[in-house]
Amino acid sequence: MNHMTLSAWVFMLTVWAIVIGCAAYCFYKLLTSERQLDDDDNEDDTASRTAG
Amino acid sequence: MATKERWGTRLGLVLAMAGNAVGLGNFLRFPAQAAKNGGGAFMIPYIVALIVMGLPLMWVEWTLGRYGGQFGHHSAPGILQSTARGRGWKYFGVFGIWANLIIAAFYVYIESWCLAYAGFSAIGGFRDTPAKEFYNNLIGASENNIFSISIWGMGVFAVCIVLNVFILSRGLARGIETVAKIGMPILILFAAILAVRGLMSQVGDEGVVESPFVGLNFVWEPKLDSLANPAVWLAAAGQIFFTLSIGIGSIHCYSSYLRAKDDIALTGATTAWTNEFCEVVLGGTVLIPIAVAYLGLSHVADPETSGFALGFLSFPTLFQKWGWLAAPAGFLWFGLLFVAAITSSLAMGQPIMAFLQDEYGFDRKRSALAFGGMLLLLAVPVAIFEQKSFFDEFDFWGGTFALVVFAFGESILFGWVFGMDKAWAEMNRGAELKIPSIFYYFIKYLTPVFLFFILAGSIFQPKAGWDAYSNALFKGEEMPAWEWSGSGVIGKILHKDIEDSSDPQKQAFNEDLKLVRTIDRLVLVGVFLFFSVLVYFAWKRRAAEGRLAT
Repeated sequence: MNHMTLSAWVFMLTVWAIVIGCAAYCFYKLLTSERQLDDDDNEDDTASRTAG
Repeated sequence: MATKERWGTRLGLVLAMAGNAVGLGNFLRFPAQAAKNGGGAFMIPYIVALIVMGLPLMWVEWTLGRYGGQFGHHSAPGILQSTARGRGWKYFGVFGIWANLIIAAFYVYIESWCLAYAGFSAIGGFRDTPAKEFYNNLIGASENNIFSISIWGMGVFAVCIVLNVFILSRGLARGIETVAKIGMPILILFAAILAVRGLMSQVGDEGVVESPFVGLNFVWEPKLDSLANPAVWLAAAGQIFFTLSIGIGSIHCYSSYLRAKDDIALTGATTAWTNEFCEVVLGGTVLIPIAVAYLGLSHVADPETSGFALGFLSFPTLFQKWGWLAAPAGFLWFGLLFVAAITSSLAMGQPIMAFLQDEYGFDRKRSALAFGGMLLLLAVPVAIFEQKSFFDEFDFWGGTFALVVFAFGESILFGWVFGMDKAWAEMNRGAELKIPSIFYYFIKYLTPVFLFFILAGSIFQPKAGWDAYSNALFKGEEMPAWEWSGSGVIGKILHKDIEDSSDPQKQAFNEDLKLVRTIDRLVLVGVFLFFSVLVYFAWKRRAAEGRLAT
């Protein structure tokens, strides 16, 4: 453990905190969301429009 | 003919999309790049590139895909065409199917190595066989020979192609999504076990020459002077590209199966941060710390040592020092690489299948077989010729350069042709996460500029490196004479990466190599033209059937 400098620890833990924090926040929001992919079957489906 | 396929669940979609992004680069390329480019300081341009380019482009691709999907398009030509409403964009979109096939041709080959290594590790084969010998047998390498044939290596390759085709033929929810739901947790578990076991190694244990924390320090120690080096910024931006699977066309394809009001802001961000977790936290903690512990810092710090060489040529031997854990550890390492690879290679097949289904009415099984057939045609030269020919060329042109070209084009299309206000509204439709408005300006201005510099940097690459010119300008050092680098586009075209040799055998090999490279570049162009012709006839057919609005 003492083979790492203080600056290396600070950099590593800061970046880890940002990455894990963002991932955890996103997963929390996603998993607690009540919306699912198939909520609204009445909206435009594939091939319902035509375009170039 | 429109496909009616859909994703099963949001979590399944996130894991499939994360599986697409999490690949070999997360565990082999990232730690080597970080260590080579300033350690902890590399993370500053890396995170800047993630925010300025990675996240915006990822949202751009999700948005383009979902938008194109509303018109019944699930591959890049149709998606770009429906976004731009202009004649030429569908041909630019060919990059989004061409690159997938080209990348898959060598990527599935590496995937097959992972499978072979995992199996050989599991039976304890590396106890008696050095990794280098196994590798040479696997690829059939022999010195100064343009051919590189291994029957059993090709057999494992064929198994992987069949496996990919089989999974793809089962469809989105039952095939790709199921594999991602099983594979991603396994991958994270395997990586976590290896990281913890690796960091527990101590000097005094059998074969340990340094603390693994020396390796961790090597990856994370900030060398702030490297921030002034443009090459470090280019390397960081390049890594963001590879890691998020941007510019390939697979994100477009996956998101095109969403409905118009499905969220993409939160779902996209979740996949990006899952990928970053696998790369920064797990990827940065396995390869380099373990390699430093058993090989020493001087070996790993050698600029010639790549993450690839460490992973395939050193790790199987290092694991033998772990006693009874050697075989399981080897299986875990190559197993996780295999899972990372297959979840990515599946994402390369789907856009091509989707194109054939949408435009030529193929059903799922037929389109999977067609993809397998095309893959096989390109896989054969990859497997039988020396790696510096088809394998490297496909990697460079399809897996590196084309991604930047495609991403640059789509960033212009999105922000300037489609129109940023319309694009922003489309991106935020159904959003469950408020995308900060600063990204409006990033996408419109900063991302294309950033991509322009990456594109220019990859085309015009000096042999002495941009840092030498930067030092000459700002530090008064001597200005080096201009010479093209063999790793840049112009240098590649001019074969600058093949150095003349005084050894007649080696020189004869070099001449063969140049010839084969010329042939494989013709193949690359030919495949692009082939898809362009398919696009041309597909749109003629659409026009004849009255399926064009413009």
